Amino acid sequence: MTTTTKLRAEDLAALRAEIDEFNTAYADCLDDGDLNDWIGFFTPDCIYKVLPRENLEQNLPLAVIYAEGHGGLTDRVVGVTKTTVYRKRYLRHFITNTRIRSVAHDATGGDTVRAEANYQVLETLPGEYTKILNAGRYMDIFTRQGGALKLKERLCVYDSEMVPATIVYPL
Amino acid sequence: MATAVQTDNLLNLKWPKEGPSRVPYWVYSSPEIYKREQEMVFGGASYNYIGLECEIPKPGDFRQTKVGDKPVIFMRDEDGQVQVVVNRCAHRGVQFCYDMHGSGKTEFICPYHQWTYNLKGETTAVPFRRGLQKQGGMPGDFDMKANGLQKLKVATRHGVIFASFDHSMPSFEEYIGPKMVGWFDRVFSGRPLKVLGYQRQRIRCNWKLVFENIKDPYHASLLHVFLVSFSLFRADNPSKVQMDEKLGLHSVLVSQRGEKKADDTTADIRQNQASFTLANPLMLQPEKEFPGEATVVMQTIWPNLMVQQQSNTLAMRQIHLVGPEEFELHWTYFGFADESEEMTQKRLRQANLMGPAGYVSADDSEVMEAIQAGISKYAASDAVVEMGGRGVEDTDHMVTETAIRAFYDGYRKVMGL
Ligand code: FES
Ligand SMILES: [Fe+2]
Repeated sequence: MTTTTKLRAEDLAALRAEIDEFNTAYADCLDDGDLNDWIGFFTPDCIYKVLPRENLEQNLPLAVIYAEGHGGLTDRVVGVTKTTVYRKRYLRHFITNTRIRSVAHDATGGDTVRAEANYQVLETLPGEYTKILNAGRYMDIFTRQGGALKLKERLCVYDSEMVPATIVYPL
Repeated sequence: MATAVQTDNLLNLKWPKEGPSRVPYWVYSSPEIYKREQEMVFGGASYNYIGLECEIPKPGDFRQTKVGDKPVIFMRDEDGQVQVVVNRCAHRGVQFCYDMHGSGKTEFICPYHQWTYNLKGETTAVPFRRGLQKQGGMPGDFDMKANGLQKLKVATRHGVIFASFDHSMPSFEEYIGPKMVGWFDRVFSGRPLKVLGYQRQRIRCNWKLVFENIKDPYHASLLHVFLVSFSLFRADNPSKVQMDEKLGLHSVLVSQRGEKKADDTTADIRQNQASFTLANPLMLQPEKEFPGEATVVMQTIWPNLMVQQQSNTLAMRQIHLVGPEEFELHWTYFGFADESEEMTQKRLRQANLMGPAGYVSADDSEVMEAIQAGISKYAASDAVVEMGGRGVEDTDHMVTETAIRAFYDGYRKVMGL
């Protein structure tokens, strides 16, 4: 059975700090780390999507990136590193304003945390000014596995209808 | 003596003497050409793709889109008819419709002076028309009927909406010709459609490059390592290229998935990775759904639409213009209203191939920007388009650039070049 919990202020602050810590490591992985490590931020049965706000608001299921499970994330990583042909680029993630929407405990002692955070991803192509690649919010479902938070679901919902030509790396 | 590098205004816009096997780079950057295209291509004798009827199912539903670079609104009026009008107030030009889409409209009111339009684009109210306390007002002979919104001629076929600024256009069917109608009806048989969602990207290159990209089947087996690795598209797959009967501006590229095999046909392909397999095979489990053997049919309908059927991904790719060296691609993914949940899931999963982050399309948007970077400042040079000969005829293979030659052959006629 799952129960929704009302956390005390200090527990909420601790949980928010933990998610911020998580997102800092997530950003570091995508900005300066090894893309293969990105998979480890998710549970094996995860859902990861990048989608425009307009689709979400109109209940349209289409995403720009739709990865299911570690397999889907692995395919993305292989796609980006082995089969897609693109100009070199650098990303810089800014993840802020973390808010916790709900916390639930289940009988096995696990936690399910629904949270959101704003993100902005800057992209720099050689020879060009830095530009905003994408901005929006992460709509997340975290679960606790072996003491650590993992993403069971991350929806990257961007506000603009339009994106620059190509989104190469995950957001 | 001619200098090696000429600037735009020195070129006189004269097509190279070789004809369709050369494309002069000024067609991709000249402001003069861009202006002429707005007038003669998008504003001229063409049917532009507007949207799908299922996007505006009820009277009072509307959406914004563009014809070339011109903002328009398409909507369903009280009689159930589709109307397409410009988003430009008949008074002094305000873009009066602020919402990108909506429903339940009975009229549009311009915020500036509240001129009011019904769903047919007719002016129904002009405040202070008769003045205020005997002062001001419009002239006595002011005719509201003659001062409505500019309207486009609308044509629909099997749930797809097209429109033209030219009210003397023949039917849509006559416009694309019987061969193209046949391919069009293969996907649009009249079975009700449903929209799955949108993707939109702004690409820094001339709009014609995206048409060329999709009319060029031979790049697919070279650039798209992903397609090659999974045998979705290979140079040796049975395939054909066909043009419409008239100007050759509409075309289809048809292909059939084959077996993976490494032989001389793939030896030329440097990045071939024959042993690639998906960690999540669910992403790509195509199911046959259309008559015939083809697994990929990409149809281009001049001047702004590409109909995509790659496995089970169905999408309208619509071109919006921004300027000579920038355009937007608007993708409307769809399925059928009565299809199974599994089929919809297949489409959503396979959509990973396409769009701004697509395993295949991302290569294209990258390479299109790289083309523009390459040619933008070399307007006096020409592209060499000789794969498969120098002619413009239909072929039954894909090692050809014939559809690009046919396209520019027709383009020159339309543009008077
Ligand atoms: S500009 Fe629209 S009412 Fe005046
Ligand atoms: Fe391509």
